[in-house]
Parts: sequence; structure tokens; C-alpha cells
Amino acid sequence: MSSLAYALSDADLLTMPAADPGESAWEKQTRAEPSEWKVVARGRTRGVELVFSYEPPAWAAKTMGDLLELLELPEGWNTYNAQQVEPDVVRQASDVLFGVVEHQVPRPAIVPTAQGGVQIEWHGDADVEIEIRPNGSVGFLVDDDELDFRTCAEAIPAIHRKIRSLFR
Amino acid sequence: MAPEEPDYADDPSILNAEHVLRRIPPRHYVKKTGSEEWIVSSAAFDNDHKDGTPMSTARETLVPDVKVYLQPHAGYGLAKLPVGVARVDLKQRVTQTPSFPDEPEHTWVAGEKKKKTMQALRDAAPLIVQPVKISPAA
Repeated sequence: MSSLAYALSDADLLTMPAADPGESAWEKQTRAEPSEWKVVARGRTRGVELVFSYEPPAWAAKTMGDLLELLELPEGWNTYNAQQVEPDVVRQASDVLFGVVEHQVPRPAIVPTAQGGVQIEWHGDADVEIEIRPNGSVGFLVDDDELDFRTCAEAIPAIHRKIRSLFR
Repeated sequence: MAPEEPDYADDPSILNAEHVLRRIPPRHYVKKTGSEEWIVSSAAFDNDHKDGTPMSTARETLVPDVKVYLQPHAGYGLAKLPVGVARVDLKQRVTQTPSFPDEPEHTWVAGEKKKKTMQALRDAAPLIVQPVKISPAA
């Protein structure tokens, strides 16, 4: 596995304020040091700082913003009794997403699941879905190939290999 | 004594030739990768709750007017799922029991929904009303 290392502060996810409350100011991406990229993503009410040891995709801050937006959804957001997305699930989704993509991978869609999970998906030549469930397990589907992992740590290397081969 | 858990047994009086309708939230209507086309996420076809509550739908024959049906749900789309595909191809059970007195059209599509099953339900259910498009953050 390549060194797709990045860090997301636990505290930041809940406490870092948005620059302009009520507005979406998503992106600030700077290369801090030769081997470190910092990305600040801000949602309407929350923000995070991510530190990458590889050049992150250009959409990293926007998509992290999409993930933060899921925390604003109330219970029953789908009119069918859907669960809220908890911060832990967003944190795990962020870990998986930035653990499996490389710079050239196109921007995925981010959707909440009725069970309180997060689904990361690409719809192009292949349909690719990664589901992060509230219990920490991960489902992965690429076309007809469906895999299940007990933990994010188990899922990341396997999904990274697949994603790398799909989006070369 | 604890109330009996519903078993959501299949009801053959709901015919394979019928359809059920599933509301599609704008959050589940996504842009295809690198394209201007939009697609419904398979996540829109999951069971309702992790406690085992199955997927809710509405029996089409009991929905006289989809506009009225969707009126309380601004921006939502509606997908039309053939009962036969759900029941025969995807091994789901279709039933209106337990029922809701104030929602006579309510229909359950019960059964395990692996990711492939949810995708197949999505692929079998064309939109008859398009959800509002929420563009990803620019």
C-alpha cells in the first residue's frame, strides 16, 4: 500500500467554527511543507482540518464539506424514519475515503443511508459504492463484485487496490 | 407479555403485475461521475431502520394522484417498482401487514437487502417524478 496517510482532528470535527455562519466556505488548500498538505473544510456550522502526506485530490475540501453537511440532517430526514448520521460515522467515512483515493481519482458523490451510515459512490464506466455503517463495518460494491469488511482498517487496503486499478 | 414482532409475511394478493412507489429524497439523487446526468443512489432502496423495519412503499393502485401523495414532501421524487421483480427476482416479501389506518396505501418490501439487491431494486424502478437536484458544493 502506498502512504495515503492523513490526519483528522477529533476535536475539530465538533468545535471548529465555520468562517461565515450560514454560508458555505469550503476550500482552503495549501502545501505547508514539502511532504505535507493541509486542507481546511468548512460546513455551515462545523469545520475540520485535514493533513495529508500525499497530494490530495483537488476536491478534498469540498467533499469533506459534503460529509460535514450530513451531520446537519435530522432524524427521519428521508421521510421514512432514517437515522441521524453521527460524528463517528463521518470520521470513519473520511478515514476510508482519504485512505483509498489518490490525487487523480474523480470526485465521488456522498449520500447518507437510512441506517445512519454514509455511502461514497462513483457512477461512471463502473458503478462503485463504499458504505460505511454505524457499527464501523464497510461494504464495497464494484459492478458485480461485493465485499464486506468488519472494520475500516481492514477495508482500506483492499479498497485502495481496487480504486487504484479503476481510476488509473 | 411483549407484543409479537411482525413477520412481514408475503401477501400473494398483491400481484406480481402491480407496482409499489418509493419516495426518493433529493439527497439520494446524485450526479454521475464527470457527467451532467443524474442517477438515484442505491441507498434510496434500503430497509427503513436498522431495527429490522423493512422498506416502506405505497401500493400504486391505492394512490389515485401522485401529486397529492407527494404534496407534503416537497422536492421528493417517486420511483415505480414492479412487485414481480422485488418478489421473484430479488426474493423480497411484499405485504401491507402490519398496516397503518391513516396510510392505507402503505406497503412493506421486506427481506435482506445486500448492496447488489439495493442496486437491482434501483435499476428496476424508474423515476416517475424526478427529485429536486441538489448540486454538490462548488
